[in-house]
Amino acid sequence: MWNKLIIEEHLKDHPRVKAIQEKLKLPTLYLENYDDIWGKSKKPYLHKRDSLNLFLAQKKGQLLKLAPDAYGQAGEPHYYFIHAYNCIYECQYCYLQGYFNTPDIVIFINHEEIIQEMQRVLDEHSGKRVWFHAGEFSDSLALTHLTGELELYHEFCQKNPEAIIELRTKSVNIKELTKLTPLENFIVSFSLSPKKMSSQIDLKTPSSEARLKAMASLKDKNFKIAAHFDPIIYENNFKDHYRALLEEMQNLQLTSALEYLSLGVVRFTKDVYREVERNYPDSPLHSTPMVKSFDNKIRYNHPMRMWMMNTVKDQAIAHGVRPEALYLCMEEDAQTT
Amino acid sequence: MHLITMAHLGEAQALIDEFELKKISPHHFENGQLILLITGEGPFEALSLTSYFLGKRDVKQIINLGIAGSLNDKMSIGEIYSIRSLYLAIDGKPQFKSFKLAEEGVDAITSFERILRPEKARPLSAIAQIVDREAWGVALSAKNFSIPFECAKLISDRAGEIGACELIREEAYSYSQKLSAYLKNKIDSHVSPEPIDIDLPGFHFTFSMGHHFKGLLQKISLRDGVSQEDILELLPLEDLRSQKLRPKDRSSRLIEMLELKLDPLKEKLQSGLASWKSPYEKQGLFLQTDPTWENPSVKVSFEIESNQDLKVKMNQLSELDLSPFHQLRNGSFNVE
Repeated sequence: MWNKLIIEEHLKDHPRVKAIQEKLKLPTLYLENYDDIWGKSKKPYLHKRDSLNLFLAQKKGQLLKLAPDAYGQAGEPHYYFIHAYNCIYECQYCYLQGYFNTPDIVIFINHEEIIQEMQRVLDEHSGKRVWFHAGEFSDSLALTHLTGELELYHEFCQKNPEAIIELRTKSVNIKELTKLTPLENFIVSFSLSPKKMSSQIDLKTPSSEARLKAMASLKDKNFKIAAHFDPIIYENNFKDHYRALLEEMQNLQLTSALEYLSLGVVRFTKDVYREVERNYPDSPLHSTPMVKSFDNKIRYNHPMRMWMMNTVKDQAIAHGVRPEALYLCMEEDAQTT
Repeated sequence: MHLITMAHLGEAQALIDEFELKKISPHHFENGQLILLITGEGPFEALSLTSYFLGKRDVKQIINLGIAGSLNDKMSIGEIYSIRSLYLAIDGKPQFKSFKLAEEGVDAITSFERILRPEKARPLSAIAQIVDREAWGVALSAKNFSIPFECAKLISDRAGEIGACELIREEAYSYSQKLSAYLKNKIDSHVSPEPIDIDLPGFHFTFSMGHHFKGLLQKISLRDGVSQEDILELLPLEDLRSQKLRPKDRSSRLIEMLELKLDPLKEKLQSGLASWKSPYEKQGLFLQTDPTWENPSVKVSFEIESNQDLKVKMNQLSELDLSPFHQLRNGSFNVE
């Protein structure tokens, strides 16, 4: 899977770096700064299939970012923290293919500094609940068997009940997670799509069934779980496919256990859309017409996306999701129901 | 005419012999089908000479060939690799602009300087498997002139190893023969793709209609997992042929049918909009909405000739109900 391991020189004796090196045993290169190479040349996204490099680096600059409106449930501040850039998976709609200039993965090592910054932000909002999301630029669980940082973030949540951490994932790599004690404010959220669509477009990810199984396993161990139906993509018999997904979730008693379920219809910036067309010309993503929407993003037309969102919302409620647990994501008329 | 660019005459010798190329100038050889340009070493040299030449001659394809160093121990000396992506390094620093030449192959980086030490080669190995001295310059020139470009490199040495130059000199003619054989094979196997025609008797497609029609067929085929032929078979072609329509209008109808098939809501939205507008239009109130449905505003237009007309229209306007339009726009309908 990996081509080379590239490590910032000053981190070479860091225990987490040594642990990763020991596990991967890859040809290694040392550099002063990871961004002397990473992203400096435009590397085609699909080269990740056979020449993916792994960089280990220190995150500098902004360690936390304020999440945009309609990112999470409304009414509370939402931030995301950046533990990594890029992802081992290959979802055809992923915005990362047009975001960085390279698919090479960077894992940041300085989690203590990130957590320090989270503490500072939390203290600034004293008394209020503050959300910290992981998984904006990379899957938050997929590599945790290598990276070993979960414990630190878990400890932060244990100390700070008003801080909520959300780990967004498509992975079923829950082994490290299950070594920890479940906490009210440590939520694992899974991105889900109906079986057929997921197998066509979520390339190199665990199957929809495997994700549901991982969710059920976490729920049974009393972990807090959530789900994202995002992106929702149109296909023939779209309603039936979502009904089947929700039925399966209900059978596993997941729907009523969800802390929240976000719904978002597929959308792209112009650049990402162009990349998707180039990288996946035969993708089912191109089979339904889209238009330039209110924020210049490429989407299905307004009636279609509202119809799709309302349809899935109604079905979710009918299958046991609490109405107050639903929110519409990144949509002009977004609201919590 | 194919334009072949190579850096050194030594690399090109067998090619000149095999293709019986005549010397036009010290940099320029040709035989009526092939032009060979000896660009000299370095991306700047390759870029300037190739661009100068492309400004003067009509070229349908450019191929850059030559020897290169490997940055990866797994690559075999003496093997030829076709290049997938091309990068550039100046003073060992990677530069942003790169070129994707093919889906398959290996990646190469063109270096402004010769790579004579392992510590210079090592950082480049994170980017590419091969390092050369000119391909990126030729690629930029090809891109500027919108001419298809291919590149293949023969591995002559391990980049950064001492004594590489002597080894290459000894093997020069044998490497040149291999490159020449590669080119011969490439040119012999080159077949231009035939343009796909739509062959539907009784229908006439303009260029843009044909393009749109093929796109729709492709999208439906992707979505439904059926062949384009099967989609065509299910279309009422005979029915359309029996109607008294111009061939071009028949094609428009066919396109409209495919559009409706592709967009599950189009028909519902169109008929919903028409039935909302219809009673108002009968009264002379014309309602215009955003065809993409993004903008919720409605433009109302009417004509009046007197104050009395105005009063009538004001009354009619006060009865105008926008909610059916908003319901449609907000997806409040049932499909499937």
